[in-house]
Amino acid sequence: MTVITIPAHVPAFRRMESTPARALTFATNLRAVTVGVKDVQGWAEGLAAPEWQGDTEQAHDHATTRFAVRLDTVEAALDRAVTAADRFEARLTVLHSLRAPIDEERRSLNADAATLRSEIAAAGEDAMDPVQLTAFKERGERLLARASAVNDDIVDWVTRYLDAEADFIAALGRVDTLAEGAVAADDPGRVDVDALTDRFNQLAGDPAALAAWWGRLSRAQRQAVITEHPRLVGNTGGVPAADRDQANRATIYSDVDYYGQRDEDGQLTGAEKRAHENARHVRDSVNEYRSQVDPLTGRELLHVLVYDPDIHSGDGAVAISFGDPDTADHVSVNIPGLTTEASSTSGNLATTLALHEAALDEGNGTVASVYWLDYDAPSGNPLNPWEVGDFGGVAFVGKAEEGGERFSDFIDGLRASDDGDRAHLTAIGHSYGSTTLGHALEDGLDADDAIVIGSPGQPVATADELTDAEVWVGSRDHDPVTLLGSGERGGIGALGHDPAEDDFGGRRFETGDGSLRIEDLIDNHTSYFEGDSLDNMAHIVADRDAEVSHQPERGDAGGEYLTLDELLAVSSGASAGEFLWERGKDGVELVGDVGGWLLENSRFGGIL
Amino acid sequence: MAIHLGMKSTAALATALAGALALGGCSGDDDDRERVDAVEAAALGAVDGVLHEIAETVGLEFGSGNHFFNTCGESYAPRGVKHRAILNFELVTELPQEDVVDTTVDLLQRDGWETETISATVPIVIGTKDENTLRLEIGGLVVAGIGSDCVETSNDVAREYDEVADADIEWK
Repeated sequence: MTVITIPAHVPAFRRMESTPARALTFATNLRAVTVGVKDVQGWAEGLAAPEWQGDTEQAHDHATTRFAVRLDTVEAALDRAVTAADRFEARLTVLHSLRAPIDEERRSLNADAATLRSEIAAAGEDAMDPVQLTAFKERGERLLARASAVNDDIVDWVTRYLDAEADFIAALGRVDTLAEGAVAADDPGRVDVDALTDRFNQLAGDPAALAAWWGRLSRAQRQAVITEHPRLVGNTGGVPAADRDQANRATIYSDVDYYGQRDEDGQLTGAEKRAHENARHVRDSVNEYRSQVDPLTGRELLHVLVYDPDIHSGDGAVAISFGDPDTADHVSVNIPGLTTEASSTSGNLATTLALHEAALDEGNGTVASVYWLDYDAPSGNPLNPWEVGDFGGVAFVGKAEEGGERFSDFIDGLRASDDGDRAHLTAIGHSYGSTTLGHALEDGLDADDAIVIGSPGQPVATADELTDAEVWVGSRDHDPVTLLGSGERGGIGALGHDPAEDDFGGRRFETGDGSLRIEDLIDNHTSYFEGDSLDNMAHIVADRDAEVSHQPERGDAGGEYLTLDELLAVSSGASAGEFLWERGKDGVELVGDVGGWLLENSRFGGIL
Repeated sequence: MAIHLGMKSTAALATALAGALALGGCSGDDDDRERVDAVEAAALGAVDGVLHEIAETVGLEFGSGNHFFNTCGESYAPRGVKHRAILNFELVTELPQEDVVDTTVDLLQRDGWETETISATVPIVIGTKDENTLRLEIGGLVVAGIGSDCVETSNDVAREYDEVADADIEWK
């Protein structure tokens, strides 16, 4: 009698009660506390005695010294706890990534075994011919080998998981009393954070060298620098994205706490009030995406790569990525335009996520999508006639030039911390942000593709002069901002050349023209992250250029367009026509007169 | 470098567009709110309906979830409101991955969603129904997002919804 052996059902195995996302939250809170303690400790150490003399002066010095020493004890304990939390999070992230394929193999194996069982039962023991019997037997043996392998993997995984939890608990247990903190503080092997900080500052302008040096540090050294100088680490190019994220999250929570306390005490200055608002806006925006985790690693998808709440005339700076740009196959970084500030982060993250998901859906590798606002975008409401003076600031190229330099530095940092194969990088600029991008490109920005959307102008006349990267142009003919650049048919040209012109030599992709109604013109400018325009940008970001649909360049066959004054005139007429059409036949005749009058007058400078 | 030539033009452009937006913002704010609320209700209805059904059938254990509103455009012209719900689940199932995907697609289609399946780093299932798009990324964790198209509203209403704090989703 031949025996066919089929493996027993492999049961579900231990689930992760501790998850990377929860560990990140724990570590972030711990870092924020540590940052706060270090701030106070630094303050106590530097506390000068008031103009007291004699016993009073000595008593003061004694008290502040004791206070500083005690805080140092706490600081040493927290440093160790933070390092342990960081190690725990890293181990959980690896374990999470390993668990899914093991469980998938387990489920697949069980399903295959069940199928074999039913096929054998259906064939019937007596009716089975020798060939069929041999085939069943061989399949059973293959399943047994798979079962053996998957059971080994499960045992190994569970062991590693339990070890990670036990190590973390033990590490925290070693610093949970003041006496243990004192031991940590006196440890001769304690990290010399001052020496590390000096070296960090020396390398800060050289992202590649900084990345190489940072990579050689121990976990404890990295964490000590992060909690000692979170603002420095969080905003310096060359530091890995995951570490910048840790540093910036700690600063955000520390800032919200600090400014909140000063607010309660009625001590906030005007500048601090804006910084407090920016900090809260960024914290709330990040929190909105707390449930958006990476399905592979279990870690929160967001990475905060830049955070400074009181820079750029109080507008603040922030850069946030969906996904890890150091490990992604494709990275996009988009620069917003005028009036953008840290307080408008939430809406800009929504558009960035739309692009992120569309690029992922291309199915061509992993993606990270960064929203970058670390330049002083022109302020003021361009639609408020009373703030037109501020809007006129758009005509200054200075902010775009300065922003372009900062953007280049940011990209150099991302390139330096890139882990593994060099990422395919697409830089995107919208509106005034496209001019900023243009200046960065002109200065040699290290991008593979550049997309300018809704651009009011580029600093040079041709794409070839601008960059070696492929330049893509999204420009709706009924977006008035795109008609500001100089071209064959005019254009103010305050911010440079119209990149949608045929002579510019960019590749214009399909966006549609947008509605001609005057009340929709600004919508045409603010909706590039939707529809065909979004789909085409996703193709470019995911390096699937062949999928991009083309829109004729201005001045090329099929690329006829209205100038700005014509657009305003015709769209005014169109809207009036629609208004009147709803009111009867007489209105239709009137609209022609109104539109014609507006067009004629605008042509001769009546409007512009 | 100041470009004085542009000042008059930008002022005229700004004035014209501001007037146009004022015209465009006259529709009833209550109607706008009603439409936004309907989109939100449809998304949360999908959470309580088809998403629960998927979770029970394929074996998803709820982790966390929240939902919130964003404006569609820029701060100077918000244009309208988008609603988004995000949830994550642990995959606790005996079904092979392929069956998880097929079952999910089947349940969505039965509930009237048009579906698309994408083979990416992890399988992605996308369902579209009226103004909402439901997206499921199926790895060791399953991440579900329900995002709406832009619901056009007056700028005031858009800013009003943008100020609403995000809320946790209760999984009952």
